Amino acid sequence: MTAPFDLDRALGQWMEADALPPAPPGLVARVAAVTAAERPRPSWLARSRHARIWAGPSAMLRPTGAGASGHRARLALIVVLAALFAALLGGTLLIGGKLIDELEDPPAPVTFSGPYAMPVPPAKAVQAGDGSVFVFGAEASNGGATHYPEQVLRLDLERNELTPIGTTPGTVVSAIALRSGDVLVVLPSGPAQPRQQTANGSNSPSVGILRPATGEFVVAGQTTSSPLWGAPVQLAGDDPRVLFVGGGADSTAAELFDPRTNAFAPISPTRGLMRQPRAVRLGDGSVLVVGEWNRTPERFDPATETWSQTAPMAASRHGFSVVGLADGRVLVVGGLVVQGETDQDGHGEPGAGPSTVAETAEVYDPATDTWTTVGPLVHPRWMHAAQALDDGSVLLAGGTGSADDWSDGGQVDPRILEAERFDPGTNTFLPAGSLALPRLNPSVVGLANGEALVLGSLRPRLLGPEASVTYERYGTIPLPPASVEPQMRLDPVPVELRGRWEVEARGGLGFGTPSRKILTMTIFEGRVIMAVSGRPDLLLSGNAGVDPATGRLVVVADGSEVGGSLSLDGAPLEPCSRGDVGRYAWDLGSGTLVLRGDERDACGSRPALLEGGWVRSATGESLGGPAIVETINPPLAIDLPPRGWLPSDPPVRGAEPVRGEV
Amino acid sequence: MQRDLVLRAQTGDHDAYNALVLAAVDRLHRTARLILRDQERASDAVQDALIAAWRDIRAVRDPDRFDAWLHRLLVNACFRAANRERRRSVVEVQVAEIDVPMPRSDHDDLLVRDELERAFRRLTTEQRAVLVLHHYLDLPDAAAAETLGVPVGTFKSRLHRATAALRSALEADARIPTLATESLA
Repeated sequence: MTAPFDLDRALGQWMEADALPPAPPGLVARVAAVTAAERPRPSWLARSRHARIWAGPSAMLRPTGAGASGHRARLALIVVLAALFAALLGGTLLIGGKLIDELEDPPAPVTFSGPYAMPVPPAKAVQAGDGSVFVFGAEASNGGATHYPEQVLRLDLERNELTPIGTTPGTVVSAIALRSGDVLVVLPSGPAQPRQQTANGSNSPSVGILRPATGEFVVAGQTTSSPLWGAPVQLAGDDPRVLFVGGGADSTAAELFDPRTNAFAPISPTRGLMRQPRAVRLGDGSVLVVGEWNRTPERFDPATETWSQTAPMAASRHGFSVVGLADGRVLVVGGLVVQGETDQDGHGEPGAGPSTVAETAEVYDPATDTWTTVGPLVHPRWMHAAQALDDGSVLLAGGTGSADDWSDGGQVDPRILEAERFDPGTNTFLPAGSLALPRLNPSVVGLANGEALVLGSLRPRLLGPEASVTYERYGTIPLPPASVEPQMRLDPVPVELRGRWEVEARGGLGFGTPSRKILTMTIFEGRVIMAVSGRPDLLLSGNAGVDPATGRLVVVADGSEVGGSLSLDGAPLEPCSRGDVGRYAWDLGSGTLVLRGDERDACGSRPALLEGGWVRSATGESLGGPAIVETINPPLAIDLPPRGWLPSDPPVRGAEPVRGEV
Repeated sequence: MQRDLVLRAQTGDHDAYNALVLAAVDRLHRTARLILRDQERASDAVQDALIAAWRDIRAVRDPDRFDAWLHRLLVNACFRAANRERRRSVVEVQVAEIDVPMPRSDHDDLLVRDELERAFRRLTTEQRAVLVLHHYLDLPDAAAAETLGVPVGTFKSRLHRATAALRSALEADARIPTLATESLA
């Protein structure tokens, strides 16, 4: 047969005719018999099995759906590793674009990567409607009356870069993405934080609006009632208003904030106390609010603006999470459960009896107004983070399993590094990888690609400062190494600093801050983070490298100190009241501390020397009144051998600290 | 309707999944039979795909795209089945007997179909899959490319190559007597 011949038409007709015979009747029965004996796999496992590897001229990893973006070089490495794995399995490879083999079950593990350093301890993070991820820095304080603007940073997930875009007039306690694309944040206030007063002098909590497109942040309005610490919830449908509920120990207040008018309007109070409540929007448009130590949640009906109590939960909780599930139900998970008596409303009190960490969760079905106990959890936990992922499961990460973690003196359950996921299909919890660092009350943000970030931590004295200024990503593809522009080049640099050093200061070593002591210096990915007095409120961050000539550690601060009234010899560095005194080069290896300010130094650039415990400029000018002589215990050099890995070596997570001495 | 069934199946509703199977099985079997050119192996491939679909149905992010996802599973199952076939290298081919008198036009059509049948067998499994996705399932290029897990441009070039290969096979077949036993690609 030769042309002319309409091959396409003939082929289509032939296929229709050729393929007419239906499936044999036994086929359906066989499928039914096999599938009846099984349950579908959890979604994250199912998805990881459906990522497919194709290797060809333009090798790339093609996971199904989420996480398709990432660093090219890292992707190429993953592809190579996965292809080798495929070859081991006798799978299928594409060479030169031609399919010669196929990998059915490539390894596309959904797990944690990081930790990735941050310049500030994060308070909250949120992904705006345009996909931008914003991190709101925590409050910075030197312990006195002076506070400094908290940074707002935009996180570029492709490059793993955090770019400061501005500040907020207070530490953000809540942040949600509005349907308009803006981000609404809640700023607390109080007498102890006078600078958080708004223009009219009121101490009422205020809300601000961050506009992702321009980076503009505006204080939009103030509540009219007592502190509203509860997480705000935007109402459903065309109603843009945001519900605020409860907050303080005795609060039943509730208000609606209208972003169109930037006005708050009080509504009827809740029936019971709503301390630090969590709230989620339900499928019918109502809002479920669950307060701490309160067994009886309440539902808010936006149509009537009234409250109704739900059926009581099995237990009142503290330090729990509430997550709306894709199927319309609500998961209340973790927390402390008070033992013993509760009051008639089901309220318990932290001191009313011994508390235990909840081993189970409860699921609320709005359709039937019933609570069902599910679980057990893989690890009982509280002070954790919970985030619904786009496959319907819920990620639980961080927290602790010890009930005595009320103070820094408590103990952290080491097992709590393990995360877990709740599968709503089976109402079960399954292990889901491990964090690199323990994190208490971390911030968590779900990403549009189905992944999640777990950021920061409270209690740095207990857990170490690094958790408070790092984040980890839960997904299929690790982020690239943090992009840090080196402030001081050490060529050639034979190693990368990966690991952790702890430097114990003796005496009053303060690096120009006599009132403080540097207790820890932690290095991640070539980035050094110093926690002063073991608190996160004065963190000095910068780059670190190893001088190949001396083998000594060299730290280069980049002026991104967080808070702290940096002063020299007790004299505040005014007008350096923003916590930024410029860049320094701290050469700890020479026995001399050299501060090299540059043109970005808010206090003016000046090289400085540390001599005999004094900080002075290279020209002999004293930098600050020498009212207090800093005590430096010589030798100043940190005599640590370079510890690290060649760039090609895999990073080591959770390396044991090596103690040095100053 | 299908969306609801998928959502229910994702929660473990086996009855809902059975309904999805009944709705799709004939189409899937015909597709597999076209790709594999073998009834039994087509049944095996469909069975493998449907079982895999039940196990991993929670991987479906968009229930409205369940069919596309199922096609992808099926094509993969067909590739695996073809690999198993390849190891056997030669299989028996059932050739429909043509002994019923028929009008000239129908006879011509049958000759064309017979030629297409034999030429189609000369293609590789991948080439057959490309043609089936395009001509039988009538998938747009983007959807077909997604089913195969390749970029659209790659799919188009493969479609072009497959069509050219089929045309060459037709022309070659016109010069060679029909064989009753053929080697699969």
